Amino acid sequence: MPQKPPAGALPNSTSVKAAGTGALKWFRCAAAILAKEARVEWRSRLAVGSTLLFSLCALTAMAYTIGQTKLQPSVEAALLWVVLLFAAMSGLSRPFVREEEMATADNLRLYAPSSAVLAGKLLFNLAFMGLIELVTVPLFFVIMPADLSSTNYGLLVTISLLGGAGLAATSTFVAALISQASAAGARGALFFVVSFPALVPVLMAAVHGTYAALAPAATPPEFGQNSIVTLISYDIVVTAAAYLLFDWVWRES
Amino acid sequence: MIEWRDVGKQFGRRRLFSGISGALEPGRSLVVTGPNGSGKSTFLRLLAGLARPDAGVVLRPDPPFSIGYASPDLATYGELTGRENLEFFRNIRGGGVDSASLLDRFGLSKAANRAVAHYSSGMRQRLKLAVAIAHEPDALLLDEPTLALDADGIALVDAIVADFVEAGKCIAIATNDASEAARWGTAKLDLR
Repeated sequence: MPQKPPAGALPNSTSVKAAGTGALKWFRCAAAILAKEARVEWRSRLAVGSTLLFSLCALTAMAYTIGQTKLQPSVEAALLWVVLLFAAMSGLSRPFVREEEMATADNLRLYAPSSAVLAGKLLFNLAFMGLIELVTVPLFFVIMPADLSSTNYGLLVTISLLGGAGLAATSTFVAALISQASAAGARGALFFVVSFPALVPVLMAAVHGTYAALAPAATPPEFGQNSIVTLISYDIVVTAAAYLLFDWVWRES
Repeated sequence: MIEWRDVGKQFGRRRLFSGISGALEPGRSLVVTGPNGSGKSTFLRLLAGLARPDAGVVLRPDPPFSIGYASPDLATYGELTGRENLEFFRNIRGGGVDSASLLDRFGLSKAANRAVAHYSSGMRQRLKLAVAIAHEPDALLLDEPTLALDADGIALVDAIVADFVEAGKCIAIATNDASEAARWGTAKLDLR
């Protein structure tokens, strides 16, 4: 004969304490947050839509302005990262800002470990940045009159991924910081003002590395290697700093 | 048990309350009352750990002691369905009551696969309550829990309060309604 559940208990429940502890529980939580972000974005398409639209508009405007003028590889590299930077800025703050605007952030503060919240949202932003680059980088070279005959594609892809990861990691942490600004209207401006200085090193390294990839004959071999080392170091330092500081940023109120 | 000692909170120069001490004891329901702006919601946020007091301390047991919280200032995800919301919270908390049971208990089974953005305010309130108790918390904090609820929904809140008291768990409820305060409270904190 089945026993009557204790008062206050509901049927078909799994004990929270028995459902997995430590690392497994943390990974499940981070994965759930990542999946939630993807599902919410898929249904609203706010960040992806606005970001891709920005990329398309910016590239089209540049194409009309430049015409058939042949640009130096160094200028092409700089233009590519300017487009990627501004495209990323319009979408990477959404995961945290949306939580505050929709009054759902306290749910995560109450029920999820802060490091898992950071991990879930960072992974989403990495995937988001990857998608933006997947569309924007090829489109850039289709629209711009670039000579790709001597391009080092391996280096170009590596620099794009590492630079994109740097943009995503920095933006994720800064978005968590500014999302708690009481003046909702100031969040967009604050996001750019706070994140831009932190992004200068990653932009410089990414532009140098892209230049090395577009013109391997004009740059010494260590030019590209140095950019890769700089970007890897930057990504590790920013991610580690975000991990260490996030709990303080997230729960301070 | 959640305990608070000489707790005070102010926003800028405006002091909400100060010097409050007490405890949320197992098996007793604390009703927090007071006029609008007296700090009832803020007090519950202090107990939940969502805000910090400007004076005094709030002492909460370490995990696995868990808290459930529902408030008008706390929303569920509008882009997700009711079922997806419950599944999400179940996943981030690492377990709890299964979604179908909760949806049935809170009268949301028929709307389970509808986006919460299309729910009525009463249905959203039911979902918030379901989220708050889904992990069978040791302490439950309810801010204006009957807001937008119909008679069945109010009866549901009555049952939740009774269940928590009977199970020897902690529960605190902020309300402006004198009849609710009289019905639920075994202890009272007036913030006027």
